[in-house]
Amino acid sequence: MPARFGYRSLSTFIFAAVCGAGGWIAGRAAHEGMQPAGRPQHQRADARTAAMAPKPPQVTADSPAGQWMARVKAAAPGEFAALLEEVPNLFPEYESAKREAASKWLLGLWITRDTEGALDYVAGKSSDSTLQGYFGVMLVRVAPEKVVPIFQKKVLGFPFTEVVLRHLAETDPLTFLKLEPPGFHQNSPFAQALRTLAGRDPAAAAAALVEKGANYPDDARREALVAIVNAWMARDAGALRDWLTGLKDADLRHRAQHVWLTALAKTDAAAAQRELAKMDAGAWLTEEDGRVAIVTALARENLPAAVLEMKRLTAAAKATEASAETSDPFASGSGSPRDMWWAVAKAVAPRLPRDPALWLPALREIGKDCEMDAGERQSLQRHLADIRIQEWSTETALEAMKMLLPASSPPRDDLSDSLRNTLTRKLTQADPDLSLQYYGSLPEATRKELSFEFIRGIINAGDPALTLRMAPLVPLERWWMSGANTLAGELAKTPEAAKTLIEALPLNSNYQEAHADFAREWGRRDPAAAAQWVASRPENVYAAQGLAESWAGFDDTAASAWAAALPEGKLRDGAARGLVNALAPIEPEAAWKWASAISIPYQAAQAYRDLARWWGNKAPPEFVAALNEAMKHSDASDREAALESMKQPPPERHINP
Amino acid sequence: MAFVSFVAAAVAAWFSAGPPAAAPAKRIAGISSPGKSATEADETPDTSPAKALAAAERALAEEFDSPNEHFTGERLAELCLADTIDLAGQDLAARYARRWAMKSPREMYEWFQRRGSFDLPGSAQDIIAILFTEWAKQDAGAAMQAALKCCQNCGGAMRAVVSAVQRTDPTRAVALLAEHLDYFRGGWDLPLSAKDFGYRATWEAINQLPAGRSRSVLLASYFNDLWTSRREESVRIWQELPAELRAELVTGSFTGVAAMRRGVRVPQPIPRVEGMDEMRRRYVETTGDAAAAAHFVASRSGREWAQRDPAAAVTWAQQYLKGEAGVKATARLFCPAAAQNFDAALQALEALPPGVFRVRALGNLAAGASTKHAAEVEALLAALPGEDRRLVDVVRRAAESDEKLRALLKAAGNPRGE
Repeated sequence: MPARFGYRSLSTFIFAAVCGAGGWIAGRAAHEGMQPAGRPQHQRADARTAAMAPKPPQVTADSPAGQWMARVKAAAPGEFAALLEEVPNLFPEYESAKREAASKWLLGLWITRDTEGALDYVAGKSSDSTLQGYFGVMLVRVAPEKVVPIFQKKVLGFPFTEVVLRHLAETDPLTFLKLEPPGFHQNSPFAQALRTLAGRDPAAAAAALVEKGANYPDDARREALVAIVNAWMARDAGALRDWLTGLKDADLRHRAQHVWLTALAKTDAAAAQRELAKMDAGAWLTEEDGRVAIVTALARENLPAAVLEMKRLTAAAKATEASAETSDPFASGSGSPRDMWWAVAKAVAPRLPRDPALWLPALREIGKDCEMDAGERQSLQRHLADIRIQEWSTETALEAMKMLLPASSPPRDDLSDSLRNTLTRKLTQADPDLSLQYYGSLPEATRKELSFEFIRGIINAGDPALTLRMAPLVPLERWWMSGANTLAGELAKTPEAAKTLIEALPLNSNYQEAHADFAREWGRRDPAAAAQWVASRPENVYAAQGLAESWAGFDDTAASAWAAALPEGKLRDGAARGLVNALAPIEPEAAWKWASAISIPYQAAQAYRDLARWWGNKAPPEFVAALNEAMKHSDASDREAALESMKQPPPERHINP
Repeated sequence: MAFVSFVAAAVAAWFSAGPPAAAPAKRIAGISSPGKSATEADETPDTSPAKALAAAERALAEEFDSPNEHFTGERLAELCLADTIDLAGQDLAARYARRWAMKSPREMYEWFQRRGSFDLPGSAQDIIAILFTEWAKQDAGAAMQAALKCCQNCGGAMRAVVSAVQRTDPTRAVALLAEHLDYFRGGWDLPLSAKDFGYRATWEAINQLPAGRSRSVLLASYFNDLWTSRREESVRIWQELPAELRAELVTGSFTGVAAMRRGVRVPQPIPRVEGMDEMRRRYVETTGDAAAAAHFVASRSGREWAQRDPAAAVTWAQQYLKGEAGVKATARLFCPAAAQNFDAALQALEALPPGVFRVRALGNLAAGASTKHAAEVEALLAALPGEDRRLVDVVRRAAESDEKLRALLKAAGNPRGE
């Protein structure tokens, strides 16, 4: 029996042991994944996890920086000064970030081990404001309990105090409020302090705002108020409402209500609408007006509802205008305020397609289902276009431009005109060279449509070579329309290359400004060369006028001598006309002499008219007689105006030093 | 029983599988909480002093070993909007931008390219300089290629690349700059610095460039930098310079690059080294270069000449300067001339024909004259008609303001005040 029992017991034991071993293996395998190399696999899993976690940054121990760090770690308090002075050599000027990080770290260690020693050292470096700033940063961070006594010792001034206050505003706002001296502070981190405090205790922040807000500028108070309202609303909306409705300061209450409405509109526009209906919205607050937030919130979902609400608000504000004076833009009587349309556009813009092919038709349709007049729709469309076009790359803007400019007949309506102008500005600013290539590829009719914006855009790019390349592409009619005088003036920066373009322009009054401005600007740079060119164009009265006028502005003696030497004829008349313009404010007698020398009666009349304006009631009686005679060749209204101006004192002229 | 032992053994085995022993570290590791960079740690300051100290150490370590952070342009834009007035040192946005640029400059570049602009709202940071400096440290060629595609920001991007390359490889920096000199309009304020210790290698590299416009512009620009940063050394360099390179240097600085910048009436300084003034004057006389003449007259050379011999300086200026700018610059010579040599200046003034030019010259003479000559100046002004008197007053005030600026610069040791 015992033997049998022993055998059975042994068998049972062995069986249990085998099962146990199997269990052990299974347990390990289950943990490690039943892989041939279970244990290493466990290590790989750890390694994988470690690789996924960001690795801690490291400095090679045997590098100069690593050796320096090791010495700093092992340093006794008396050694920190010398180690700090090694920093500029260790990290030269262009390694400023390393220098900053090393200095801050060392100061942090020094402060924790020997605050007084660090303070004495930094105070001794009074000319090193950077070091004093770093000391302030690290003091707040590593020894906050020592900030108040050191601050109050007043051993360190700027920038230590500013740095400490700034950091306290972020970490310990109550100490900040205690430390900042009384009085008005223009650049205080007060708003930051209340933002930090509001995150912990909004009621305390609100109390601090009421108590100390008057010591800070409007924008700091506003920023603090927004932080308080947002933080409090998330914690206890009822307490917030009680606080703001109970505020005794009417201005603060008004602002607080609008900030609150703004915050509410972000989460529940309908609730904000209901609250607004229950209260007197008061005067318009440009940036934080709750009405903007409500309309904007509505516009994100439902543009017609937003427009209706805007109309309702406008009507309500207009009703108040009758009884009270207000600067409320709702009450301006010229429709809804621009701010509001801009806000609505910003809310609606993300809903429109990004692809220009889809965006353009969507833009044309926008607002059709809303109660707004044509002007209001245009305003909204233009704002939307400004927002989207700014986001586009040059290529996308060019693609959109091509859609707006079919080669055959460009469609003309206000929206497409406005879009073309915005796109042209965008293109010429972003890539003037590409824009010019594109402009050159367009048919003349289309170039005519675009010229003004293109001329301005290319000139603003500031490269005379681009202007020179553009000029031949500008259709002839555009040379006498707005912008052409600027173009001709710009061409005078490269006169030798550009003069043939000017010479090709017709000589009539339509192109007067182009001729005159080219010669005027050239004359300003090199009058002798310009004079030579003018002399070679004996019919160009306008160029002679432009040159004489600009030349006499800085050297009247030379300009007068040149004009006097010209043979009688158109050039001399033009030069005389230019001299009258230049001399009339400073030497009216000399100007009179030149006016009387002009042989073309109509030109002479204009010269007398201009001189009369500059001479005014200081002109001698003989001049009045001469004026009457000369102006026989002018129309009656011109003559009347000239005589009238002679009753006035001479106008003051601007003098450029 | 077997089941129980199986389960018990399995459970025991499960818990026996511990983590592997950590390998001994051969490096000094940053010690702040892993997974959070010092940038982020700074942003939400930890009130625990020990952790703050650890974060400071980590921030230093991160300067050598960029953390495995995920960077986004949106986050950078947020940081740029943060108010960082009064915070000592580099602000969070700049640090974030630099770390991003260190880690993956191309990704950062592409983000801004997609955005269409390197400007961020509220940002005071020069994102271009940060990105291209870090990129050039890693791969100057790729950085330069990208810089060339930066459209409006091309100049700033290339400036950053060249500056960064100069620190480690001055020869390459000079070659890069010479190749792309056209992007630096005017060419006066070039990105090669003479402040760093690589200045000798940079100067040698410029000397080794093939002859041509690039070399002469770089010679002139860098020599002026040497004059500002290392005066004694620059005098030695000038003395050792072969005659043909001296001539080229003068030519290079007289191709208009040295002309006054718009709106600044105190021009870039002309180094005071033996023979340079004379060489510059001869250059103008030989070439008739109006921009070079304007710079010569407005600079120390012209002013000193006007003090020694007003009539000769004015006559020379009238001969070589053109247009409105020429008249104004010539008239300005009367200010230093009157300060040093009133009688000769007055004689030169009286030799001018009456007119606007002479009135401007009188305004400058009045600004430069010492109190000793106040009565003579007042007598001259009293004889003027009303409109001329107004012009004189305006010109005089402007000249006095220029002289004050010059004196301030001189007091601050700035050679532009000379």
